Amino acid sequence: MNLTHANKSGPLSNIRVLDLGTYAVGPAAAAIAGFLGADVIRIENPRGDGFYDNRPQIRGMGASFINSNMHKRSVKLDLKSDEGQRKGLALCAWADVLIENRLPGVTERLGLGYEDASRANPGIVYISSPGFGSTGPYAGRPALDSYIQAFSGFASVQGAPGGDPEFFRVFGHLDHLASAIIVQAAVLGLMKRRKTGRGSHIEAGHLASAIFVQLNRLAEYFDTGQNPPRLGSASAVIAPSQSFRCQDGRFINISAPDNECWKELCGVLGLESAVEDPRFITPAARLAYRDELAEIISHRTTDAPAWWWLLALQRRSVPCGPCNYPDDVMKDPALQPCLERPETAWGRVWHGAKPWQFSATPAPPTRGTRRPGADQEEIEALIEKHIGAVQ
Amino acid sequence: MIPLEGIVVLDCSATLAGAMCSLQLVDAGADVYRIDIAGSNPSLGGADGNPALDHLLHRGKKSVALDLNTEAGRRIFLKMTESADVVIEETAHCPHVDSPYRADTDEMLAANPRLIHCVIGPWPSGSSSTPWLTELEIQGLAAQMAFMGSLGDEPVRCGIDIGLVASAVYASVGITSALWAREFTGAGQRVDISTVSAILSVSSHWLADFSDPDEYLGGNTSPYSGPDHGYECRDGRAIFGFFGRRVDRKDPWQALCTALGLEDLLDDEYLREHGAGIVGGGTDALLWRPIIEGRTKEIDAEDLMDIVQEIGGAGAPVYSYDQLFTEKPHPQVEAIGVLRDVDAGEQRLRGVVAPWANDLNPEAGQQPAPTFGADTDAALARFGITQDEIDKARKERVIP
Repeated sequence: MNLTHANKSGPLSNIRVLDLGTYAVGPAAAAIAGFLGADVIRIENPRGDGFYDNRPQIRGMGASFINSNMHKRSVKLDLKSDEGQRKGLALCAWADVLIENRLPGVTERLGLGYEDASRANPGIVYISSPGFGSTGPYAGRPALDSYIQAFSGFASVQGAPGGDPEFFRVFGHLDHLASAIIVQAAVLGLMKRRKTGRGSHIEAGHLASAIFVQLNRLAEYFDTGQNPPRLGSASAVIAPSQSFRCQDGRFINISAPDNECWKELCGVLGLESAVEDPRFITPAARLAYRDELAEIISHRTTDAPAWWWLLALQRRSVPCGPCNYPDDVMKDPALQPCLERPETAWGRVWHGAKPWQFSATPAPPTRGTRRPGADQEEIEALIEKHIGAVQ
Repeated sequence: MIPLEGIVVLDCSATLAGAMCSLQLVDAGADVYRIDIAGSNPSLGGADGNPALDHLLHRGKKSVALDLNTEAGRRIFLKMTESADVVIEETAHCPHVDSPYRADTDEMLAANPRLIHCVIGPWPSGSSSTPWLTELEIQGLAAQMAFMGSLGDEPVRCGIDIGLVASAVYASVGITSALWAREFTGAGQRVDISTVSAILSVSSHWLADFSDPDEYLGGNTSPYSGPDHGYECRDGRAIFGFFGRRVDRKDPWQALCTALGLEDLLDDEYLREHGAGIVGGGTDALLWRPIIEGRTKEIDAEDLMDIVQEIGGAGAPVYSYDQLFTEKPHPQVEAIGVLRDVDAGEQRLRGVVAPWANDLNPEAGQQPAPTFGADTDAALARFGITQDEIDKARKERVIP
């Protein structure tokens, strides 16, 4: 591999990634590697990906596809043909990392399983992200974010108090977290290769990621043996920390994580007598009397509109904020540094800004998603250069 | 060969974000030293301590009790950074909770140019917005409540701390990437992580969905559709649907109608061709749900999943923790091997290892969490602090 590290193009700028993924988890992982500077090539099925048809569409392409495939080059290869498989193997010879999230056994059938890929390139770090895992009763079943929300217990810890488990209605949280975890696995695999000289096959599954990211709610269950309650907007560990209705009908979020915040909050709300109320005197006490506390506070917040409370609370350094709608996010000037809107083949598309700022190896500007096969010629030429390795 | 063996991490964090970030580094083989002050959060063995939480977040780490709000404490800490690889820090998510001490990147890198200084804060560095945000306010800013509950009713938040968790995962990716870059440049650097950017990054699906106003209320993006509880079954709930290209979804859809006794729906030409879209999640699915539920509620969730699998669809039951993580876990959870039980004194505590740990570090998850300050003396000695200095610091309550 190229050992000269180009400083100004991201910490992973000397890494080549081959994306054999479908739907979100694998492709978005490859995109994240791209955000960090990696050179990413996506192999596109000429029949297309299920995400092409997902709604909503943007100028004829599934928004989810556009979102998951930023910052990569695209080549169409029919991996069901001998020629396509040979070209796929040539790209394995080119790559440092391969990312796939197919059902267990699928890449083997396409002639691009770990054994095949490592024959073409013994140094390859091959990341598999099977949805439910590679073994077990659910191993052969496809996983989408919503199924993992259901199966992992994620849906069971959210919803209205006393109500049923509830799904997060725009699917993607668990997808994107799994994707980021895959990128870490890839870099760790490369660090291992630096020491051993060999590549490896690493599994980082969607269900496994979904369980890992629930640590704080799992703590409640392991501590008490009871399922964590669904609390509406309320926090399980801080009280008050929930949404309150204001005079104008809007909701705001208010939190008082410690006694100083609590005192300040009582001052703003005109609830000075509550400061010394034994029910509310410590964070643990406030948590135990969360419902009573919420009732008292909500009687006050309906006295003034949301904007007024936010001004008053911010002045006293009490954590608070609006319950935004999506269009608020796109309009709020304070949030713009946290957003990007790269130009894609289907126009400009909103995306979260890269969450990292690297002082010495800044990430490159995002290159928007390209049409499937947009880089066919360029990559066919690259394949020519590497095809010798797989003859 | 474990990837981060020999990497030394100082974790000064006070919330889930930093704690989960350094936990992933533990599973990758790093030596993580928590710099703890009494009452830090998530707490280690405090009055309101939760041993289950301590173990889940801090297993395999070492705890150094050190008050960074004293001059002497800061001097000791700076000495430690000279032989460390990574420092993890959080800027205030709350004005009073965190230590007011901020490590100075330039000062630390002057003494140790290979150091990676990771700072997790709400906003991108250089942005001047209010820093006083807990998880709830971060979710509110990022419009998370617009995708749960019902418009106008009491808001419902994402049930896990998605903002802090996303920050943890991205911070760990950022640190690992910076360690990779250091192999070639020889230089450390500062890595800033913005929690608000992190939560919007994992929300990128809906940001993309809303990019075309013509489709503003399309698909599963409508904030005006009601809460989605999945499909009621005889013994619980489940979610299911179809995947692949649209043309591939038609046959399974028609087979499902037959299997569930809903052939009547196929009399309608539109539903016969495009009915797959009325199953699963999203506005259409929520509208049609009562019709489908009329059948699913007569079937057990697992049996429904077998039917769905049989006809070429996919899905999953809605499980609660007591169906997954009991003494004898659900067979699928068992199969992926992410749970680790450890004897700690009289207790048996359960941990969850990073998803890649089985392949990269099979030994991960076997160490218990430290008690508060348990490793102070040994750790400080390892960083070159003399016994005299340690005794003095303890006398001055710099080591509580």
